[in-house]
Amino acid sequence: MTKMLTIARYELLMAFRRRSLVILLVLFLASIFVFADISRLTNQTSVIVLPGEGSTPARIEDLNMLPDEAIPVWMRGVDLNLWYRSGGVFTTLIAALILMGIAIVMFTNESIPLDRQYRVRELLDAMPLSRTAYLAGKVLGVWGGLLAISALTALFSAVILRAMLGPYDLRYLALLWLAFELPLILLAGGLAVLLTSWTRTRRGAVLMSLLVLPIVILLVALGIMSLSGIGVLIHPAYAFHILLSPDESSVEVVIGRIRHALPMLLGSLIASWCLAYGWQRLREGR
Amino acid sequence: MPSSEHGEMSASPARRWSFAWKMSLRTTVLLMAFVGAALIFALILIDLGDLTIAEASLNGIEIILPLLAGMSAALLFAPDDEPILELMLSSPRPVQWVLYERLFVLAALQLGIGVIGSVIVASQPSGEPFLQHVMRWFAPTVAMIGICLWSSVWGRRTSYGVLMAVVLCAGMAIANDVLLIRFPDLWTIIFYVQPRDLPAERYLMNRLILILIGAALTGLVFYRLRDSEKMLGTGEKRG
Repeated sequence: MTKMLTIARYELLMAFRRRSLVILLVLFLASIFVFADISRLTNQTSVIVLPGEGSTPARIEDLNMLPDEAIPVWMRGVDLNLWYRSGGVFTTLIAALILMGIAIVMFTNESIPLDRQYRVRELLDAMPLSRTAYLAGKVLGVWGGLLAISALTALFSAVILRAMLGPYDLRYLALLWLAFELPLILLAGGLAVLLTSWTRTRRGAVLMSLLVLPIVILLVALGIMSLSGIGVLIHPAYAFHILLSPDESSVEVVIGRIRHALPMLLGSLIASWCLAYGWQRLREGR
Repeated sequence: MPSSEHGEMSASPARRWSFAWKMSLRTTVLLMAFVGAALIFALILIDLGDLTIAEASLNGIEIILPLLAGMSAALLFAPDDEPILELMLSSPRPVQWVLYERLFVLAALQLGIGVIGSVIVASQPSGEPFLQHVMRWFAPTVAMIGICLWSSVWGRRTSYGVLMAVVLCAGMAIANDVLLIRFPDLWTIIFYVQPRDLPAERYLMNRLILILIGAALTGLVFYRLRDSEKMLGTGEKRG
């Protein structure tokens, strides 16, 4: 355990010294800023199309004027302006996550290959260090760095989004970061480290990550489809953001989606671990 | 070794250096060129199978070619990822030659694929004229090669250039649809502006600016390569 944590600590330190973490942080913040601006631009008219057949577009201002009986049940008691702007937060985070996924794969792939390139692996092989401790240390180190910059991005994004979109539901942002963005960021980092672990140089890792990238994007997209509806736990009205009709059943639908997707997401991580572990074992066998 | 010493050494008999084409071919990732060619020609074949969509999508080449050329350019030369950089810098053959060779191979491969694709498209009844089609992909490809090569050399790591290629291509696609509304002046640097969306002189200006950006950044890379100390990262934090 101590060895694993030491490897994780040094991996985190090296990621900082190689400027990977700083660049990722800048990219994360830039993506939040750009996509928030695009969201503001496209949502200027504040028009929504309510679910149901024959619905016509309605302006939020007009809906605010209507009595409770004239609006859908799920809208009653909801601050529609806050809810609508929270939709902007939602689309911003989804768009930013795609960019973050690409950047994470590109900047975390070198973790294990660099040990081979700099001939550190020979030294490590001569030490009483298990393959599990080595791999887990590397993954934990990368996750530690990603956790740190995700926390910073979440804090800064709360301010950026407030300044660009106006007041929104802060609970919604917090929940999206904790239960949607963060798991997928960690998944992308873990997959990038494990699936590029068999390459021998940083250049090889970059080439490998071009193959890994579609897999990660696919899994992130799966995660977006399943985890992004987590907002319904705050209020069913947030089901509207994932194109579900907001009612009591939407909570069950979202939980069902998460339940279906989680084994796939966790399974991909476990399969990557087994591949990386198997490769290391094969290499030692030679 | 200061760059001025190259001149002194090149006067010696060691000047009879040779080319390293095979290595250049390996460095430009031949496989990526094949994948690009396969994608482009598959797209053309699919389009030709359904002429109703051909007009709209025969231009897939303008998206695929710059992306792959940019990625390949990013892989050409990154100081921290060159295993024998010190040897390269101390050899009689100037290090710029390495990049000249690799860039030549890359340009020959990618531009060759593009020209063949344009010939096929132009020969179809619904296809564009050859030159107009070449203009679609040539300028973005030159710009991407320059930008991605510069990113790899400036950032010292291949990953910078590759990330730049992916982000730029995706960003330009978004910009073409979304950002142009907000910032109309961006027409000058957007890769995927369409001839039908702009007056002819503006479209030509856009193509020219993109080519200039690519050429200027490639020139900057060669200028930076003259300084061996900078290439070795002396006094800089290294990864």
